[in-house]
Amino acid sequence: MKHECRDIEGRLVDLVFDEVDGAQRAWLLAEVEGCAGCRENYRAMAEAIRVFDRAAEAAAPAESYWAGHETRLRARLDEAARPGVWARLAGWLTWRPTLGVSLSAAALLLGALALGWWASYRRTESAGDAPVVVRTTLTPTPEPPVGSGLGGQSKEPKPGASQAPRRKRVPPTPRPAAPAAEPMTAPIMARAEVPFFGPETVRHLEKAQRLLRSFRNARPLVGEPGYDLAYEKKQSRELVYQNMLLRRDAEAKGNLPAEELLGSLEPLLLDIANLGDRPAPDEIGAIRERLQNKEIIARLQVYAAPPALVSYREN
Amino acid sequence: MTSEGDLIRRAQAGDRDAFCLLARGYERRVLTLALYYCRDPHDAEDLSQEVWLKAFRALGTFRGESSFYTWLRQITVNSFLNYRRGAAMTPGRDKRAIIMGELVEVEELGLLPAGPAAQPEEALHQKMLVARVLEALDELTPQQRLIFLLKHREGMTYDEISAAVGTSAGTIKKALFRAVAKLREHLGVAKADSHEARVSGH
Repeated sequence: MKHECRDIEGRLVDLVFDEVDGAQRAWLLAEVEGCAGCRENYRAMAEAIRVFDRAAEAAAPAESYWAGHETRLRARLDEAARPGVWARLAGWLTWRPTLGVSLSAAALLLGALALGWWASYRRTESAGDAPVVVRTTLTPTPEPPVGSGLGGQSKEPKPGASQAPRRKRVPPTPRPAAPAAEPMTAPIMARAEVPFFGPETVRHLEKAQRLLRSFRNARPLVGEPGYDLAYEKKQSRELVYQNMLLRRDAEAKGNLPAEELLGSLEPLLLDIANLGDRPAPDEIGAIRERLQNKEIIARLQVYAAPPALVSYREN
Repeated sequence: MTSEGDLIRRAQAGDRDAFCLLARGYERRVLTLALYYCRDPHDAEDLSQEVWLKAFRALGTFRGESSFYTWLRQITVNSFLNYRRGAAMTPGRDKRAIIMGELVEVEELGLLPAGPAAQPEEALHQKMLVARVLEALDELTPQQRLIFLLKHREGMTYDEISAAVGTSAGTIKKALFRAVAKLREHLGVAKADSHEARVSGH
C-alpha cells in the first residue's frame, strides 16, 4: 500500500493522543518511521504537547493558594445554604400564627382595596361603554325621507313627529364587562383636556364642512326656478351614513362633544340629502337659517383642524 | 481514615465539612482545567467554585452509578459550556489576549511558583512559556479548548468526549489537530510549513 502523507497526517492526532492501539498503532508508527516528513511532523506535535505539559506544571498553584480556596468555597457554600428572604419570613411566621393570620388578613384587605380601586379606574376609563344610551336630539324641522342612496337607512315621514323631541334607543355596543350605569360627568371632565375627535371623525367633519359651505353658497339657477344641488345631495347621502356610524360610536364611547356635534350635523345632512330635484328657495332658506343659528360651519371648522396640529384620540 | 463513600454520604446529608474534604481531593484538577479554559486566574477561580457549588447542590442526585469524579466531570463540562455561553454575551471578553502583565495577577494568586528556589531566569522562562501556551489556547474556540483539555489533561476517549460535549468524533479530531497546530505555532516547535508543502507536492 502506497504511503500517503496527507492520510497519515490526519491520523497523527490519534497517535499523539493515544487513541489507537494494537495493530493500528504499530502500522501507523511504521508509516511515520518510513517518511521523514511525517516523522518530523509527529515529532513536532509530540514536542508541542510535551512543552504544554511543562507549562501546566509551571502554572500549578502554590500550596498557599489552596487554604484560601477552601475558605472561599466554604463561604460560598454557606451563602448558598442560607435560606432566602421569603423562606426566612415563612419560617418566622410559622412560630407566630396569630401575627401570620393578621398579616394575611391585612394583605387580603389591601388586595381587595386595590381591586376596588382598579375596578373604579376601569369604569372611569370606559365610561362610554354603557350598553344602552338614550340620546335626545331636537330637530325643529321635519325630516323628509331619504332615498336608497343612504345605504338602506331610508325613513318614512311621520306626521307631527318632527315637532316632538326625537328619542333614539341605540343598540348596545358589545363590550365585555361594561357597567350598567355610567357616571357621565367624570369622563367628560377627564377628557376636557384632550381633543375629542379621532382622525376618521376629523376627516368626516372636513367633508361635511366643505359640503355645508357649498350648500350655503349655492346660487339659484339662472332663468329657471329652484337650485341645482345634485352634487350636494349626493355628497350629503354619503356623509349621513358615515355620520350615523360615527355618532353611534361616539355615543358608545361616551364622547359627548363628538356625539353632540355629529347629532347636530345629522338632521342637516338628512335635510339636504332629501331635497327635491329643484328645491324651492324657501326650502333652501330654512336649512340655511338652521345652519346659521347653530353655527355648525364654525364649529366644524374648529373641530376639523388639520390632524398635524393636534394629537387626536380615537372616539 | 474516612473513605470517599462515607464523605459522599455525609455530604449528601448536608455536612459541608465532609463536602469540603471531598472537594479537596479533586479541586486541583478542576481548577487547572478552569485556568486553561478561561485563561484568566480570577475567572478560573470563579468557575471552579461554581462547579463545586453545583456539585454540592446536585449531590443528592448522585447514585454511585459512576465514580464520583466521572459525575463531577460532567458537572464541570456543563459549567464550562455554560460559562462559554455567558462569556459569549460579553463582546470581546473571550478574545482577550493574555499579555505578560497579566501574569503578575497569576503570581499574586499563587498560580505560579515564584519562590526563592526558582532562579530568576528560570522563573522568567516559565512565565513566558505559560504566556505562550495561554496565547495558543486563546486562538481556539471554547469548544476546541475544552475538547483539547478533556483529551489531554483528563485522558478521556473520543467517545467519552463526544458524549460529554455533545459533538461528533470528527469535530473532536479537528479540534485536537487545531489545538496542537496552535501550540506548535506559539511555542515555535518545528514549523510544519515545509512538510505541508511536501504533502501538497505528493
